[in-house]
Amino acid sequence: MALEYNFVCPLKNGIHARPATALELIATKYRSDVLLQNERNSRIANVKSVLSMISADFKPNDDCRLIVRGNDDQAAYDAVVSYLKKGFAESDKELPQVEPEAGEVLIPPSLKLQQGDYCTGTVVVKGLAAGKAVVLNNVFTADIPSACLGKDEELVKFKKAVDSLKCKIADRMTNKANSTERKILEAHLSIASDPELAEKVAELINGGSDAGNAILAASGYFANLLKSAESELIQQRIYDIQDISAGLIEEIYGIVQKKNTLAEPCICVAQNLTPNQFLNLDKRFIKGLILAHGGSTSHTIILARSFGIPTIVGIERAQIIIRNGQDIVLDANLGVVVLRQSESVKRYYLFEQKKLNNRKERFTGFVKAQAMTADGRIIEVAANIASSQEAEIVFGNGAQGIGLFRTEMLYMQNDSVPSETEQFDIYKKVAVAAEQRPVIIRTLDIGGDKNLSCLNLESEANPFLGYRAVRIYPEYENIIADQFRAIIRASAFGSVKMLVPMVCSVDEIRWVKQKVKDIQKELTEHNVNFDNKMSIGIMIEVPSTIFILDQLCDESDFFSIGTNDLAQYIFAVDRENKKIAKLSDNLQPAFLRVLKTIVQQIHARGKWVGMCGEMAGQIETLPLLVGLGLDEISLGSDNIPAVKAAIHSLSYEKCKDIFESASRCISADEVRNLLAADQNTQDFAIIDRDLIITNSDSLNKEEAVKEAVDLLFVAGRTEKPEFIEREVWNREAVYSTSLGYGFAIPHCKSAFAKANSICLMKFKDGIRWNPKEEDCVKIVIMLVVKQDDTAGTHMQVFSKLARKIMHSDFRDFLLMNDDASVILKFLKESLEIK
Amino acid sequence: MKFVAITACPTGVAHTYMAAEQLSKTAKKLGHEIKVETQGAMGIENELTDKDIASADAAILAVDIMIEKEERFDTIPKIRASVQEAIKNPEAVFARQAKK
Repeated sequence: MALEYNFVCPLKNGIHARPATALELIATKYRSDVLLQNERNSRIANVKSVLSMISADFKPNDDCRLIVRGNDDQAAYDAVVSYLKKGFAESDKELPQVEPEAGEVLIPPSLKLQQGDYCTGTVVVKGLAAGKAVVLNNVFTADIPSACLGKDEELVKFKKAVDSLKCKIADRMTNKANSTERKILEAHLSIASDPELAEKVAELINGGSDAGNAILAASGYFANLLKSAESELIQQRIYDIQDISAGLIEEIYGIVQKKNTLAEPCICVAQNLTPNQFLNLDKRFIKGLILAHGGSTSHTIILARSFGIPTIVGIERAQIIIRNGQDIVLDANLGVVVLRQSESVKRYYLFEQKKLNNRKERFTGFVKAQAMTADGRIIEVAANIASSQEAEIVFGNGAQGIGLFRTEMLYMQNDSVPSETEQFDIYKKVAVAAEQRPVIIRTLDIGGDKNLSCLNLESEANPFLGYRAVRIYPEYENIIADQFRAIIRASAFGSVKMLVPMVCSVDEIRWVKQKVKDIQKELTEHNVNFDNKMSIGIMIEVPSTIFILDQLCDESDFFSIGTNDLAQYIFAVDRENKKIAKLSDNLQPAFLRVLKTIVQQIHARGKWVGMCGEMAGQIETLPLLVGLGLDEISLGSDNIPAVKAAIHSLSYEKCKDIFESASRCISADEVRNLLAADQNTQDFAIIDRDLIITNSDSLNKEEAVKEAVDLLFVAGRTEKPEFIEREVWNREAVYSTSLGYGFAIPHCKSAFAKANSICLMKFKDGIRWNPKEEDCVKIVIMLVVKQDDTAGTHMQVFSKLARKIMHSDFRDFLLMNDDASVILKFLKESLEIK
Repeated sequence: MKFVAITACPTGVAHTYMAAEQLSKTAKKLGHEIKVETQGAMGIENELTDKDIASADAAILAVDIMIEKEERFDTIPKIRASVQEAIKNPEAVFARQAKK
């Protein structure tokens, strides 16, 4: 005789994974059968199986019948019913929004995206790409080795995989304090242990399938069942099941190293990509990259950065959310992946692409130029690379040398040690491509977080403070000698220099120099050419070096500051730890003072010092780097023309003052404010030809405002047009800036404006500024004032303009003329601008 | 009639001056005398002296924000208006009844 209990489903999203998990946790304690019947569709679910309950598609208000049958039926019944009466209805409290670790993604008003049409992530390499998505490493299209070892063996494989995966999930659960994530992992755990899943897989294995294909087929079976469920939450469970299946297959077969080949330009999407897999892709076809996982300094991302490939990471399950072949937009400026584009979104990205092209064009004049300040100081601008393929690209972008050739990629590519010959060919290629320009090759920096299993390095508790780089050279003498020999031989073909990482004392650099001498002697005996004046330098990243620069200057020919690691050691921060990553801020006054003492001491002894960390590539901090007096900065080559242009407008003397003031600030934020306030405007007139458009295509207010702020961006008057855009809208919210007479004058004050500016736009067809207004706006004049500039003569120009607009003859002239040069002349005269 | 006026808008960049210009223009058209002080991003310009105020019939305060030295107008009839009104409908502003 069965015990029964009728109730109505109280859950507003039906019975999906989370409430099902709660029920299952109770039911599995008992030996009786515990079933739940859905009166609406007559399906009967096994309460001990989450999948079974989900598949029965319980919707809100469905009539449900609990049926308990067995030896301990009373106990089971009491437990389940008690929960159904108290607690079940609350089991579906809204999951609090999981804090996006990406930081706030600012979506401008001109980009009208609907919920569900996009997802957000963290930008690690800036840029914009549109095209077809290609999902890589797709377990579901991979070729699983189908050597079937017999039913029993395959079953055992499956069971072992389940146990192992469950342990891993349990481990992840103990490390997560966040209750939301715990709940999700709990749901995963229950799917992994679900008896229905196990039964289905066993059934398929008994039918002759191997474990891998059985898992895939079972996953497909449940996915189909769930697809028909009408609740979106239940459909999300398909992702969970796919995750678990992929996990189980990995347990059995290891990471599926499917060779990914690209046939045409596309945006690559993957959960993860090893450096090897990245390097094996045809770079010509990668327009953009989306990874579910990957910290900003992971090696794949360092490679993507050096190839200038726009990249976003941190989109959970990107490889499942984004379908193979889907047309998407990768906006690695905002941090958004657009999955579905409405007409207005398409137009937005047309404008975006135009803006980026225009901006790039503006800097092409600087590609071949020297990087010289307005008062004549020269600084060398070089590029960081990790492979020989990048060499041609970087010189095309105006790199004046290679400031850092990271050689560990050559080893990590195939997780094997490249031979001397292989390396020699690569170094020679780069030296030749560089012609007379310097090429700084950094010797092997492996160990720590950059591991090479072929070296059999032991895993360490503190890899950043561990056995790595120059420290391992004596033990791996032969491998190092091969690399040294390759570099020394390559020095015969160009201006090659050797750079040693992680040096902390004089002994280490002496060891290296002795080794180099020995090899040079050997090569001389064999009549092999090399540059016997080849420079050997050291990276400054270990803090101890700062205190023995006098001694190191006697041993080392040059120095390169590795700001990434140096900052980590100085602030005692692991930059992969999101909780504290912010503390390791390059703009902290403490760090600026460290840089100052390094450069001062090295220059006092007449030696050369460059910078090759990420700090070297940030345009906003250039005044500090110039003021510091560095001989060279080395960065991702994409940015080189813009950096040279920025240096062109700086004054070295002023930058020195800025640096002094910055080192006296109390915080990184204070330094940032200082930099923002000191933006040099000597090159910018208040209005110029490139701020006037007489045939705008904008259709509405949002597009018009965006187009206007983009003019400022293209002209180099701001690095953050979206922030100025926001401030214009804030002002509009106070009250509308349309004046009638067909004019509107949006305006704002902004810390992100480098110069007071007037933009003027005329529309082909008038646009409606406000929904209620009849008048359409034919001319927009946007005024942007630098944050603290209230006393300058520019303000008087603005007030003159404001007064003039009230006069019809002024307005009529602007309305009647479409020639931008004529308008510019008229404005300059009317506003008395020189 | 003789008027004094103050204009002051939130950002102090544009509307302050547009309103000032509009009031001046309109006063002239209606046959009045006017002196307009602006309080904008550049601070106070064309400041009204006690003499200016004493000899005026009324003060127009076309302001959207708190203004400086409002005490000056304690003894004179005032017309209050928003900056928008001064720009879009100046004649109506002049036609308003001034109140102490």
